[in-house]
Amino acid sequence: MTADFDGTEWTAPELRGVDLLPARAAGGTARLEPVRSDSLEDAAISFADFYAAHHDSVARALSVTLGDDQLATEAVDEAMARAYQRWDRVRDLESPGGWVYTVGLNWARSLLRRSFRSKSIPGRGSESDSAAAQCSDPDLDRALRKLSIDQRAVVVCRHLIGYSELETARVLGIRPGTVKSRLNRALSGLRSSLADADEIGRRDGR
Amino acid sequence: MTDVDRLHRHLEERARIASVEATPITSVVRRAKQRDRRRRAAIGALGVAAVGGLTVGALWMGGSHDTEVRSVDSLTGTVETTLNALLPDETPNAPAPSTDAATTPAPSSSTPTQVAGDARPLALPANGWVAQTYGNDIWLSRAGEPDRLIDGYRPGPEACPAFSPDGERLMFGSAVMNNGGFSDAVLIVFTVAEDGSSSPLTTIPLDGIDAVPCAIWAPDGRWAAFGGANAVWVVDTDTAQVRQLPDYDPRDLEWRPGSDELAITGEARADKFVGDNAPIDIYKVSTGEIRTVGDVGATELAWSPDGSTLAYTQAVADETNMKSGIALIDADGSNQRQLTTDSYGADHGIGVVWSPRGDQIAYQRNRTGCDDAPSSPCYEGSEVVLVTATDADPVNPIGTERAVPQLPATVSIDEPWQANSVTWSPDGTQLLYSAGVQGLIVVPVDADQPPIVLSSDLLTGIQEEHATSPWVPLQQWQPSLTTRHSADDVASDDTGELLPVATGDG
Repeated sequence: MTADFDGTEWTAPELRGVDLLPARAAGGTARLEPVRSDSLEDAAISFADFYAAHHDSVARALSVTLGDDQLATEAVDEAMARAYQRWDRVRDLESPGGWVYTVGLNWARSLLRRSFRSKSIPGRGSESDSAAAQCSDPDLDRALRKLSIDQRAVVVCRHLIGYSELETARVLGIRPGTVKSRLNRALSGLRSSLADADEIGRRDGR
Repeated sequence: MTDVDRLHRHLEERARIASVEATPITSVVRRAKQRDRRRRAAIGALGVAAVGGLTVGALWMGGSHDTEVRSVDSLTGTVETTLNALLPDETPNAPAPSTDAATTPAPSSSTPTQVAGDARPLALPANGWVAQTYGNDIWLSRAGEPDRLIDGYRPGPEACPAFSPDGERLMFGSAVMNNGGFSDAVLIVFTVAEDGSSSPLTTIPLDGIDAVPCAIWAPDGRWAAFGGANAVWVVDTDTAQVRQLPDYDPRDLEWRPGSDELAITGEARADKFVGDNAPIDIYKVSTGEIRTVGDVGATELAWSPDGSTLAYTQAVADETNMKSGIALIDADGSNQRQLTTDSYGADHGIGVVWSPRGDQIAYQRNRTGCDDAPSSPCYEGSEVVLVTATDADPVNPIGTERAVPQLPATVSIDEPWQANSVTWSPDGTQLLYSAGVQGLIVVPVDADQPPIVLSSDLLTGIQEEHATSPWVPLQQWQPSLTTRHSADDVASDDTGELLPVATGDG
């Protein structure tokens, strides 16, 4: 359970817009039995299947997290390359898609820091503004872009991908308690930003 | 429409309209090969001595030890060949796939790689086995040898390896996945000889545990403790007797060296919610008594090697992050004093670790000064910090903090090694990092020697079990088998050194 903007308890649904765990059982378990393959050809096929199933969904999840479509594409390509290099290991992980998402996220963070590409951070670049213009809820998009990447990553994991708190903690490598606190702060931030936007809207007669 | 519905709708819309490119899989494969070539070239340019081939070993335990060794590069090459055969139309003008990865031995990323050849070599512990969890299995890594898989013959995940204080036995937990939950939890104990061979496995069944049990050894090498199912569990590994301490949701557990006392702290107890910091209770196995230490709140614990002092962290929330300070308290609850304040963001979740010599405490903190956005935590990652923990050093007074120098980028070729967790070598001269997706690395404390890559084939990281059982280190070095000591007359730590018994309370 997590808190709504107004504190109402809410249960994360299974799998929302992004399917990082297509094999997740209908009953709600996120646990995937390791895909063990005895033949190298099977391993190759399983990576191709994995790539086909996850590249687009992970890229879109990263795009929402990073607020930068191009950076998200670069990040998922890099993470997929790393997954390919280690496929006989990665395929046995509980959530290979979650692994790729996190590796891509960390790679993008590192790139942003190293190259001072802070203008590509959501809310600062023209690309983000363009994307925001396409959204039907630009106030919420702007509010989302005011969050830190870490906070957005938790929001994406919980509210877009549909991971549980524990799954989010495991995928992002943080504590369940940290997931909870980041999510609470993120939702508080969204609420505050939306309230400000409403106030400005009223003032401007929108 | 609720706020959350609004958020869901927006996130889904934002994901849907994202303009992400559909990169052909063959481009990603080429990218992987380019990375591999860069890594090899960088290693070659450094003149790094690589021992052995790129191998991953698998050791099937119990009786005979059949070992399967296969080449990761061989697998990669075959995967690529097969992929290109499967997907010939995606890159019609792409050059023919190289098969050199399948035929050319590569410098091993699983074998120890020592960087900076003009420094004197780093001496690794004699036994040198490091146990860790990877991919729901237990693995042993040692310098100069392929990583070894310990097969517990269990249908479910196996996790949380812990060496006994005398270094002879290794314990890990396992459970069977069942409809999204766990059942049939067990502790598995066996001996590990210096050559890595093992005895048959001893299995201790645990009823009522709905998770993989992550247990830590008592100093006597007989009792073990773990948390789960709203209780602390104390298990006699000799008799399989199980004791349950109800109404605990422990955040951290640590046995007091030289004693049968278990320190417990947790986020919540049944009688009251205590937030991020919780009281420290001590359970004494021989009497069954529980006492509370002082009047403090703690998140993580670490005993001094002589058992006289308990270090603990306290979480302090600010607007953007959770930060922690380190405090000390005597075992009898007196003499509370602050060691550091506002030390680190706790994102990485690994607590304080007292050095075997007792003179320093290692912890991790998020590095600062690299914010991409004012409200964001640093994306650089964590760094390991050593704090002087005694008054014995006139140059570095108690509380002095020293960050372990960042590793050169050439160690990992692509990016710095960022520790997910840190533990000490048995002699206290080296630190062992479990570093993100990169593997295991040995880092000298005094920084006058180069680090050693112990294993980079195992994609280490914070495991699910560690997220819920943070008292177990992600990786642990086997204590020396050449020095024996008894919990009856010495403090039991990982050093193999004989230490005086604590004479404080308890």
